Amino acid sequence: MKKRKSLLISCCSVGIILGIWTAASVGGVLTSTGLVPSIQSVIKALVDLTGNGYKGSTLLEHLGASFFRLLTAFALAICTAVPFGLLSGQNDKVRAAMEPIVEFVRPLPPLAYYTVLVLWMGIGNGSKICLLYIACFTPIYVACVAAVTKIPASYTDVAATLGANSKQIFWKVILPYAAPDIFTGVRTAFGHGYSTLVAAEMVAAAAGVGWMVLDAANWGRTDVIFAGIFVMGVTGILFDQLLRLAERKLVPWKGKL
Amino acid sequence: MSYKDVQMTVRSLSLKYKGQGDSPDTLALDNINLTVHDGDFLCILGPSGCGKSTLLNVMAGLLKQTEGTIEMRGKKIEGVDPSRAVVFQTPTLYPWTTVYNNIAFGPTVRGIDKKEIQERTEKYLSLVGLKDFANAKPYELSGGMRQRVALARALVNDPTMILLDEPFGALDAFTRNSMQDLIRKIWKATKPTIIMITHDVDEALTLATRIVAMSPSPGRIVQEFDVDFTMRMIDSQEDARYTPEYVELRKTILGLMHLERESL
Repeated sequence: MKKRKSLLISCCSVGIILGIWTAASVGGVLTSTGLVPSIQSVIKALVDLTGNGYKGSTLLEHLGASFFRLLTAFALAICTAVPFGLLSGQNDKVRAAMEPIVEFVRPLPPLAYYTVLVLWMGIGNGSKICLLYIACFTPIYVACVAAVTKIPASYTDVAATLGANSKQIFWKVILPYAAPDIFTGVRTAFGHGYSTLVAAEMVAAAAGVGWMVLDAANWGRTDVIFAGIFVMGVTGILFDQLLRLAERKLVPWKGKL
Repeated sequence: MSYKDVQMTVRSLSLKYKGQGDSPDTLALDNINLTVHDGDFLCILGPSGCGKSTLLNVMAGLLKQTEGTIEMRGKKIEGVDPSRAVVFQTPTLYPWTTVYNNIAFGPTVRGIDKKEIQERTEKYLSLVGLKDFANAKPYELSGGMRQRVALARALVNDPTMILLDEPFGALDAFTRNSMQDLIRKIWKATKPTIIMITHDVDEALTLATRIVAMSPSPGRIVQEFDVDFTMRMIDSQEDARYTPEYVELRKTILGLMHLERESL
């Protein structure tokens, strides 16, 4: 009942915003390229982008280019940050070595080091993927370290008294204990990487939703900007829901520890 | 009791916790001497901070003493061993797997034959009365049921000694009572050696064959008592708690604890 009620309220708040926007559009207050474009022009832009595309690539191709960069970086980050994080959580020496680097990079605005990455790796996909990789790495790493260090001694002590060796304790106790927190880190990393995406596509890209939005701004195409933002928002929500679904399936003991 | 074999010997054992930063070291255990025989049900009784849990952890092999020796069947205790099972105050069951797999954890990691694991796990599932909950997740159970799973998980390894660290401390009075009956039943059936930490005088009196009273700062053994109320409760359904001897001994122990506190 409570869940349904909050869903209703959410729908109302979205509905009100769309309602005001539609009213202003139909009433002729908003034009197609004003600071706030009319809703018809945004829908038209969406249809046009899907069919004819923007500057040589369709919307799906722009999305594909962005997601290729993001998901490559995301996968690389998961594959490296999880083992490094788990190791750091267990081993003080590894943690002492990693901590200063991670703590230094973590609060840096991605654009600050992006320029250096471009100088090093060129303006192709390499520097973009590297930027997103760094953005995704730290949240996962930090979540893994925190998860392992907070495991109560009694969980591992019990396993040891029952005859488990340290390898078994890692695979059968520490890893499943840390899994829900790792998942939270992965979701945070996705959000962080996604928001860095636009920045990554600011420099010398010829495709990508982030680039599309930035390029449209140069030409005053607010309808394309709005359409791009809308697509980014929806795909972001969809992907997060996908991760939540995976979380529920893979770590149903989340919150039960 | 002297005809029974000695299982564990603790000799002039002390344990000092290193102080953090500038704070001084704390002497948690001071010159503990204790002999545990086969089939003893030993209750270590004392107020919080008397080092009783520390002592249990040393017995389990989870903590190392600073001075003195601790031996099991003449062999120095150097670390944990499946022959000494531990049940903590919180059940620490693994929520990522079923009740069945939680109980089977010990035999599984020790690489025991699959068929035997199944037989043993089922045996202890029914012993603790949770046959219908084999496939439940630990978080779906009540506090008492969880502690019964923890008990079964410890017993399934066939330990020679069971160490219980205030296992019923977090349970409500009714559940605690039925858990005490269960542990008495288990002890009566197979006569394992049980060492149980408690701060509840009645729990100690109704379960133990021997009570070791401890006092805090530093943790010392004040006095030992041989008791037989648990035997009486097994033999004749009578409730030994209302006999004059029980009341008298309860008074003595409580008085002793009180005296120790006043002298602090």
